[in-house]
Amino acid sequence: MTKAVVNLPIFPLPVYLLPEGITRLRIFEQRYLKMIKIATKGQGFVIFSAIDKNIDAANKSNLFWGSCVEIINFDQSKDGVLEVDVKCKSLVEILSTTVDDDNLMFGDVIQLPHWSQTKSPYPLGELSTSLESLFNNNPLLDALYPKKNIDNEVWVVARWLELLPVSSEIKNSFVTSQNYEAARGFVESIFLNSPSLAK
Amino acid sequence: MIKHHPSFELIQSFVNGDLPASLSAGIAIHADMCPKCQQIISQLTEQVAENSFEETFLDRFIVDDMSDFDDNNMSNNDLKFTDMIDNITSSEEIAVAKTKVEKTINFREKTYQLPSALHSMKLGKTAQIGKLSRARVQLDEGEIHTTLLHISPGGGVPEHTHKGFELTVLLDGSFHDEQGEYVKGDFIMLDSSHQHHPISIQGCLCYTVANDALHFTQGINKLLNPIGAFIY
Amino acid sequence: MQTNLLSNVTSAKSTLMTDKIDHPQLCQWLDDVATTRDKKAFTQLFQFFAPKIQRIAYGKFQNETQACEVVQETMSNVWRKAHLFDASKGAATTWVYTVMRNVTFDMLRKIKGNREDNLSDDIWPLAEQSISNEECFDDHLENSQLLSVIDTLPEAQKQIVKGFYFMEMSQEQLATHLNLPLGTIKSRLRLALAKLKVQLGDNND
Repeated sequence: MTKAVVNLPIFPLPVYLLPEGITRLRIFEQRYLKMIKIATKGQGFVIFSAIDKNIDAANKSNLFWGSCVEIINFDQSKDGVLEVDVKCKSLVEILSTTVDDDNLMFGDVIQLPHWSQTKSPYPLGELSTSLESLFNNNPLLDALYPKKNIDNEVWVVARWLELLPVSSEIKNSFVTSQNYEAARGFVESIFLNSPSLAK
Repeated sequence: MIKHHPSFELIQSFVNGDLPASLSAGIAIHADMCPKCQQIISQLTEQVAENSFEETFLDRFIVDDMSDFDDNNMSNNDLKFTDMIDNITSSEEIAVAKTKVEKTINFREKTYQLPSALHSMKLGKTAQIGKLSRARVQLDEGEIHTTLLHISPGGGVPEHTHKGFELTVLLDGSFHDEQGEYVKGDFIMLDSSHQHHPISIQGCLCYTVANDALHFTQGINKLLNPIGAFIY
Repeated sequence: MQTNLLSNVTSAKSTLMTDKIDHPQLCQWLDDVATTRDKKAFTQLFQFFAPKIQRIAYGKFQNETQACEVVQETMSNVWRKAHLFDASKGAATTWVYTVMRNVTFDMLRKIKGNREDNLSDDIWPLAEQSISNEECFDDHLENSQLLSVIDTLPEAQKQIVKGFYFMEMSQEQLATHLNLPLGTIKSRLRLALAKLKVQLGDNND
């Protein structure tokens, strides 16, 4: 893990993905098929979620960040579209961008450390069990994660942040503020059933 | 653009809850259309609230008769408070948030939105003289009369002065007088030193509060003084 | 007299918030009352506010019974309306002050002219369905340009895609998962946001 600047293709998509997070993408545009080709040979690509209206939010915090992902699985869907499972390796700060002839964006990026990369040996009670049952009830989600770190509270909080239906503006604040306590408190307060959790 | 705003003193009394309902509603209506005053009001409310619930500030209120009230009744008070807490928390009732409803009022076949500050107020029947129509807002505030006044295009109010004050909040349309042009949202407070003769070319709807009948100053209109009682 | 006192102090102050009042704690108690009908939290709020309300009301009415009535009415509104408090819109003290001022205003009208019209909540609205916050939690995926692509998919697939394609649940899915009414989910999300704003301060506005 070096703090070096690398140049990677950028995929603009409003999906919030923290380190260790996995999602399935459907790729059909020519330029993004090209991006996948480049990514498989190199160091992956960057999902940049602060597109259109969210760009204001990014501007405010003066931080353009993206999720640097690696491809962990491919498939072709029934309707013939390429489906790619990607896993977030780290967050990156996007320093500058260029656009090539195929209208594919590239960016000079540098690694951005995030609290979700720390490990914790503690499960999170209700939050862990609730997440586990969510996986059990959703085969698609379940299949994406071959290994689930339910016993790691940081991992659990990060997955819930990805899954909760709140605006990208708020989710963005958990990257720009780097405040794990606030993130955990936020998730907990949605689940609070017992007062002990609320603290 | 709104050019006429309530004075700071008026806003202050509004925040403290010291104004009569008629004037309070006038300021609320204006603030609904005026982000600038809205902001002053919320900042002031925040300050006053903060001060009100700050111990050291409250100590200043404790004059002699209050300390008496404190010492002798304290234990009594504690008991009363415990009862009150039990009483309040035994209720399962939850207040439901008011959803915004829209209310309208018609003048001369035109429909206007009623400002939300007036939603619970009773309105009298509409009466008309020439190009003027009015509906009384029945607030029962003694000398203070509150009215919704509609002026049809080309209409006006004869030149007059006021013995007390006259507040006009322009709800819709525009009018002008000797001092200039007024637009929707303007908060116009006049006292007995003002003499004016408002005319509305396009027609308008006003919320008016006056604490005395108007005093007409212009020639033949002196004979028509009843119009003062009609309007305000 | 009171008005003058207040105005002197307010104009002399330069900062809006003093550190003499523990605002996050008050917010927390209000949240606890709103979400879990927590009587302990309410007792804490009561102990903080009631004596102060009593003194202020005594100043206005010069009558002990009426001062007590203001306390009773204000605190009972706090109990019934706590869920309408929105920390992102202002301090807990501001909210309770508004409740108290409104109770006092309606009571004064009643005493002066036997008018029971309760106009205060129209003049100083406590909480309207707030639009700005609602927007934050609207299914914002709806607005995404990518949905135009999704809309071309067959219905069954759309369901899956809308749910987890973006790795994000809908409010309905969250409600089903937690076995709670949708309304509760919405109000919890709102509360969570309010708390977050308190925690992160103004830096992230």
